Amino acid sequence: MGAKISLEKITKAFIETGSVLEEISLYVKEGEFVSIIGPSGSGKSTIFQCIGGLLLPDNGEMFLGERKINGGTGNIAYMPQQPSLLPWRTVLDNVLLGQELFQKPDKQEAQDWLKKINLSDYENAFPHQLSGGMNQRVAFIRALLSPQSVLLLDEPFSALDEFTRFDMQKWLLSVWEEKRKSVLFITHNIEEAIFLSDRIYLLSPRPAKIVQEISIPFKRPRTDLLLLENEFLQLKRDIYSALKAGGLHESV
Amino acid sequence: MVLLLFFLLWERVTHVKEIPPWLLPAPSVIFKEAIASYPLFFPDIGATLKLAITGLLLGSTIGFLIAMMLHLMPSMRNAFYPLLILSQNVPIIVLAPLLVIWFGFGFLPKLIIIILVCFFPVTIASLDGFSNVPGELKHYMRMSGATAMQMFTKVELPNALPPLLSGVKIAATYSVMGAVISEWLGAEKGIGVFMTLSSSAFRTDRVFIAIFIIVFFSMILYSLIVVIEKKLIKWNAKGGE
Repeated sequence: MGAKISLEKITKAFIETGSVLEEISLYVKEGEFVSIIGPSGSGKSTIFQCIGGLLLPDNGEMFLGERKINGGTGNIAYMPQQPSLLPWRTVLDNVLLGQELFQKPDKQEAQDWLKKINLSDYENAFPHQLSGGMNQRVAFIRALLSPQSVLLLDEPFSALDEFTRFDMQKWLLSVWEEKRKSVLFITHNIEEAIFLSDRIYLLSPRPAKIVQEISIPFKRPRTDLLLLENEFLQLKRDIYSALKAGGLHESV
Repeated sequence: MVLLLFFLLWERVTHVKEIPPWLLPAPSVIFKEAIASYPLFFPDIGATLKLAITGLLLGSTIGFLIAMMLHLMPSMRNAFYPLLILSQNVPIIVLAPLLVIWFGFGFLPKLIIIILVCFFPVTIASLDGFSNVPGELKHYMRMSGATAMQMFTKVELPNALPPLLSGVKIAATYSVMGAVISEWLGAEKGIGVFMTLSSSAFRTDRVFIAIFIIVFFSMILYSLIVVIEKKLIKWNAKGGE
């Protein structure tokens, strides 16, 4: 199967900070979950801004299927670090927002999904009445129900505490198994990346280059038992030393 | 409660010090006079309220439209912002006679004065609301492919609603005052007229009646907008009060 979204030798530099991305090439296949791990400030978010069309890469090309998307917007669905729900909209209306930007929203589908994730009772509640974890779930469903077939998740769990975080990872997997869109996931948490992904790209510190590409062999659906298996721990060690060799210091 | 205490004190002082009623009438005297001369000023209330409310509605609408225009066309913003400030620096007392010369003694010059005082707080508050959108909301919208128009209607406009209503609240309290001032210039009816007549006849008690009417209706208008605010803005537990 061909790549759903691919980046070919994307390079980006800023006048103030110099080179940020150097020849970043990566791809995500249809229905694949791919993570990018890199230290904070390595330019992970810059990659996303290029894909989202907010930044124009200096060099290189990006494709969605066969179509070149350099500088184009609206090609991907997005879930940011903060839930970024509109505070004046109810949960249901927030879920519909992603669709609303492009087409007439499907209210029934949104309600069905809220039911599936046990947030039916909060359909007409406002975001400030929900916990941080709940809001993040709503934000994920909003992205999942957006019409685009590729999801960009930008460190979505980094603002949550450790327990909520792990719950959210398991929850994310269970929901994603049901509606497998192509996912590109940014994180600086190695364990999270292994647990969730089919493949992982390791990024060097700025200027970011891709240091290594790692396939994760574990079968789905995955459970938390996986975290204790030797193979899992070995992978974690391998990635850690690869990142270290790539010039990464204490930030992971 | 504080208000009641204030009135009691006032009542007491006028009696003890034997202040003549043309200088400072006791609240009880004012109250009696208000009931007695009620038919005298009743038509005035209607005239002033009509003026104030029309002015407030028009002023707020114009204020909002100006804010929208300046926000959606940033080049206009730099050109017209000084003009906005200028419109507030020209003293109304000076401007009002000029308006009478230009437009006569009718409804129009009075309306223009009220609009001039009312539009400004609404414009400033709306502009603030349009531009104070949290960065992460804007980022999400852009990444998701929202157009500039969608950004405005789905994010900036609702974000501006609470400050907009705060602006209208300020405008509401100004509007009654603006109506009264505009009536000083010459009108057949209105609290402003009643006030000038009473004042020149040394009927201080009636001047106070006029003052109380102004305060009362300013407060009514204000509370009306608070009620609208509560109906419209449900999402923010702390704001909108």
